Amino acid sequence: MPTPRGHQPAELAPAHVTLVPLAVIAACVGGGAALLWSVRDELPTQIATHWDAAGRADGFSTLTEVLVTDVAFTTVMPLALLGLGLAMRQTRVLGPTSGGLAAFLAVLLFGGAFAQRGIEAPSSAGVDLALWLAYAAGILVGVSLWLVTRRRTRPAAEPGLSLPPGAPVLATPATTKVAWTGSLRRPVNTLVPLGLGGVLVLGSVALGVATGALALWLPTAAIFAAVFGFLYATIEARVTIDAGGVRARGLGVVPLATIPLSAIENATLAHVDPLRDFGGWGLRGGFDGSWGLVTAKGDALRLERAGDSPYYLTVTDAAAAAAAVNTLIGRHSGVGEDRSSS
Amino acid sequence: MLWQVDPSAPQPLYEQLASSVRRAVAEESVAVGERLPSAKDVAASLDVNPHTVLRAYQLVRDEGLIELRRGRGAIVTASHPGRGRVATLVSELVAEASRVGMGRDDLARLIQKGT
Repeated sequence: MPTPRGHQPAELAPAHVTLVPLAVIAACVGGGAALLWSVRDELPTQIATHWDAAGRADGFSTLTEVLVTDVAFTTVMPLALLGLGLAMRQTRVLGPTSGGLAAFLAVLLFGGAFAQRGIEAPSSAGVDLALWLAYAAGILVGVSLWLVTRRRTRPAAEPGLSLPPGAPVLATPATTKVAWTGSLRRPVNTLVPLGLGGVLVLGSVALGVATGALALWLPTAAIFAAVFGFLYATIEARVTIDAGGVRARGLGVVPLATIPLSAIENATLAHVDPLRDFGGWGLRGGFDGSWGLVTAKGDALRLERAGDSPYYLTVTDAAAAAAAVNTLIGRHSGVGEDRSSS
Repeated sequence: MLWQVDPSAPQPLYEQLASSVRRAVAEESVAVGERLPSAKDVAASLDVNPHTVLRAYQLVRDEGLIELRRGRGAIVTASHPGRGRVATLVSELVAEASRVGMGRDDLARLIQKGT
């Protein structure tokens, strides 16, 4: 019988997980504005601020308008993302993402204007270089923030902890070796995300070729390829449960989740709705701070993790998976092995 | 699907692994067309020899439950899960008979008497 999904929300991450990205956002805004202000006498009266699909400047603003707009964008959007991370207790992911976004926007917006120093005709200003540098800055800052704020150690499950009533477990002697293999349930034909991603990637490349601005559209094509490639790997994920823990690998090779037995307190069934509970499908953070590989509505394996938020996996045969986990962690922690069967 | 092997049981390990596959087919915890994990992966998870897993796969292949395809691995092809269930029961019966010292000929006579 699946257990209700309600549980205690995940604990807030330490303060620095929020403060460091906040500092980065402030640095991006302040640094970008200061840099632009320092070269104000070298900038054209009308600064190019918008470009068409072919990369030709078609929108212009004064320095004051540029400063106000760029400060607003570089402040509001990253702060909104950081706020969302706080609300969802997902600051360890959304904190670095907000910092990366601030860096991207700062380089694109302030940097794009900065690059127009000494230009006689703003209509000739390009945006290709600024866009590439912006993507690079966003990724570099985002990854760096993640490295700085990520969790260093995982708390271990308390030894000797008993399973909750009704938790499935296998009635097998202690000498029996147990493992479970399966996959995430597939909600749609896996060709759907592949096809959609392919259309977007090829469409971006085609647009770049058609407009003679391939350098402008290649980063967009690369991002579509990465996003849909990852989504496809998530849908085609294989899950293994054994003495080494719970592991999910996209396409059998891309590591999506690795949870050692020592970090698991118990496993139960839960009913999840990816859209309602996680806002979508794939590797997702839940609105209550939980995490999951959620690909279809229905029964899921719910792992209660020591000192961390629960983790959900919408695997095939979740009941057997939960029983296997509980049996293995019982042996791992030395708790009694002969229990009622699932 | 669940894999269970007991090294202390009288049944050979490959036979126990084959029973795991038969049970999974019978219970429909693996679907027709689904690819089973590689012998190497199963062996690593259960800490057994990969050749033991391969032998189990060959056994259930000969029973018509899976196909072994080069480059694709073991694919479930059973369209008669009932057959897999019977094969599992037979395997368990043989193991129990062996445990009480009954030979296969004696077991065959017993089955003949029962039909």
